[in-house]
Amino acid sequence: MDVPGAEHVAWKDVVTCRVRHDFEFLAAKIFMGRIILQLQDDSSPEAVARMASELRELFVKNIQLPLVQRDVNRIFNN
Amino acid sequence: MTQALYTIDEISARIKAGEALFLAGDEKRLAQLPPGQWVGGTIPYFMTAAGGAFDKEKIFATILPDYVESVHIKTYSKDTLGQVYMDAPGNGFSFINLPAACDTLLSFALNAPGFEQFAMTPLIGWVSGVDMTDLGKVSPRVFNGADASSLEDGAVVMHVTLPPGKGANIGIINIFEQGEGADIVFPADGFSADEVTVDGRPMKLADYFTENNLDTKLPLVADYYGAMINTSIQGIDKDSGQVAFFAPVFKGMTYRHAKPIADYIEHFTSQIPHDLSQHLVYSCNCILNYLYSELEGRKTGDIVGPITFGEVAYQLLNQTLVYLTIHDV
Repeated sequence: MDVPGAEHVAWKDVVTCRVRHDFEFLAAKIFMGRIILQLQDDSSPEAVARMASELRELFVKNIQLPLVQRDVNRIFNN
Repeated sequence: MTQALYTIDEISARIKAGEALFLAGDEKRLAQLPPGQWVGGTIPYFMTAAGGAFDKEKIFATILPDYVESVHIKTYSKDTLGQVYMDAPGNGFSFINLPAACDTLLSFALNAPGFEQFAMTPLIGWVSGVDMTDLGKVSPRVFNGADASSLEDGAVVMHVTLPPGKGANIGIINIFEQGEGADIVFPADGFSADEVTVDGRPMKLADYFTENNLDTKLPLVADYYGAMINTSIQGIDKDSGQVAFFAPVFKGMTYRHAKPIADYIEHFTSQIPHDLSQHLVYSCNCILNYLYSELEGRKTGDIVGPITFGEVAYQLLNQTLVYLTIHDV
């Protein structure tokens, strides 16, 4: 399954909580908990881009799992 | 799934046969085992197929599936544990044992979310403990089976590589959810707190608990993007006003005191995913759930495993059941 690049606006929408998804993947939820705290301290465009890239990496590294694939579909098919 | 209590002789035979094992039991029993592909931690409490049990003679074993490609056991110190995610296999998972109350655990609890590659690969495990009557008298330990050594400060990790076509996933079952009370925000990360903000107003956390007659057996609960993550309350020092926790609270995170639970077993079993038993490899549950919900002799569905002084699902958790599943992918 192809995962869109980190520059895709959907990643930014997730990390900034502009769009919220009900993820199944526990790691993504815990990771998002950390991202939300970090962006409270630094919400610069650079920080948002870095978080978007890290979140994408989490999904790419676990994309073989069906529930991760379903979460990616949630991000890009909504 | 192969998780159950075994005799020393049975476990020794499995180790000698080259099986890869996660073990839990009394220190004296674990110390009798030969070297091999195993990691272990001390605890005498277990959830077995027959129900919650206390046993200092047998050892609880999780026998890893024979399709596991390879395992690598590594001991970490407080100063090297930040590497744990970097050392994880490309396809597989890492299983961690840490002793309760040691410096390495405190460091892991506070710093894991900032580790390089945090959560990129599955990290699951548990915090070893002791018989509750030995609290303060005996130190929990963890064992590196590769050389059958043990330590009371550090972490032992088994990195498990899975073959192509298999994938590992971590889940949790947490019966607690945020209650209807105030939003609590802490000014700093830490294992204790005094002044906090309660619904935006500065206040002593101890006063908030006292004034609202809140049950300290119920954890504080934070919402991690839909995952309810507990921080259990160790106690309130009435003189200093400090509230102590079994896991750290984090600055800026919003916590609420948990909603009361009428019946643990009923809530727990209703949350077990319907197909969990088909894929389940490992699970463990918290000593606080065992004690507060009086689980000795009672069953939690088909879920078995050691009863722990803390659970790890990527980071330290409290009052939560964690589990590992392996799927065909």
